[in-house]
Amino acid sequence: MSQLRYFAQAPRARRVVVILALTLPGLGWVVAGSAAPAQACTSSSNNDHCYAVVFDGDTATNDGQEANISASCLHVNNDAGDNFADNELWDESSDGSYWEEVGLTSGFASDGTYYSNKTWFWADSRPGGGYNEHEPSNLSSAGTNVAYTVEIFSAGNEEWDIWGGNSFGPIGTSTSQSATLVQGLAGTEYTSSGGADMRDAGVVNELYREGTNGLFYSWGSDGSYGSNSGPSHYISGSWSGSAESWSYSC
Amino acid sequence: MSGKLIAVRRARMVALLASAAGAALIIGVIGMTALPSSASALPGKAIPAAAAHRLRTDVIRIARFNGDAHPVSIRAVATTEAKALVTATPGDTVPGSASQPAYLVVMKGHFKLTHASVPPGARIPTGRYLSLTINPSTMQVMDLGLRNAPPPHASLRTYGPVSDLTTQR
Repeated sequence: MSQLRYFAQAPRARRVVVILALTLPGLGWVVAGSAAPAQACTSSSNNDHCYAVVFDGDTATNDGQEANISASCLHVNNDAGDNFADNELWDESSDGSYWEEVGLTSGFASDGTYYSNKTWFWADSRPGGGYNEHEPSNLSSAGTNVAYTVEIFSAGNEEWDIWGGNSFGPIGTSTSQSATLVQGLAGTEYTSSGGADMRDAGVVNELYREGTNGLFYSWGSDGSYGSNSGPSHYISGSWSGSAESWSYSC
Repeated sequence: MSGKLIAVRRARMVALLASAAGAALIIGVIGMTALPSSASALPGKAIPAAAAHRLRTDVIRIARFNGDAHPVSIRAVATTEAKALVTATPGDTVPGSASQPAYLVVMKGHFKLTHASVPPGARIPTGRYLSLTINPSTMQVMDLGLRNAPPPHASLRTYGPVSDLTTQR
């Protein structure tokens, strides 16, 4: 029973007030070198994106995921590299083809718009529904070292609600998500080769999976595990139970 | 229903109402201070020539950015973001979009979203119909959708006078 997290016992999930100026916890930050690779992280024609993420160890069908995202720096230069970096939370299908996601981005979005700061976005990939991305124009950029709660949760009938923003609230609704979502993962995604034009440090913690029974389970209790991936990836994340942290060039 | 679940849903509802009230206030303020300029179109009305020219320049850049510098067709209409989402990102909705003016642009071509955020191991999204909603006041893209099949109301006539930006000069 200790593995269960009840809202009544811990109202963390529904906090409307964000935690200001949260000092990043000492989770063993790891700074990696920036060796120039032959094959590298890139936003070219293939998915050569790089990642430092933590995976939830429980892959049973879920009704959502939740986390606190805190970026101590997230910036990609406006240059010919056309790169981006995201700090985010996903909930995906078993084969990784379909998902819901929410988080912060900097750099070049899919529409070619450049975002210098920590910009809120959410997106989905649905069977027969293609890929859909939103950068809500009514949301201000996120602050530095502020822990923002984000949540992806099922409202039933293939509808998933996306909550986040500087004041925790609904920022989008995704319907017709007919895929079964089973895998939570969270961390940073980046495309800059060698990292010369980007800074990226943050933490994703307080990671919880919402079971189909309405109860919340800590990823730490689920047996989470970390992964650093992508061609010549250079950010080494550090995961510890229900948290993933990373630091590069800040 | 258990007390714990009731507590969860009550908390969500409180936050939802607080958010809605804040959004209404913001919309009111924006409505007084940031109406579309005279060069922009009102929902349901034709897109003015000057705005259409700027719009074409912007969306051609976006098409090129996503792998097709010469889309087969580019059509645009002035509507609201909420209505535009039915075509641009069918199935997705965004709070506050009902009162947000938008240009809805649908391009047909061969697109690859190399800048899409995807989980590790996932394929980069590709498709033939790239749809956008654009804020007429800022020309900022608000929403983007990519799919292989024609989106709902792809002709755009449902929304008002359609601008064909394919060959406009």
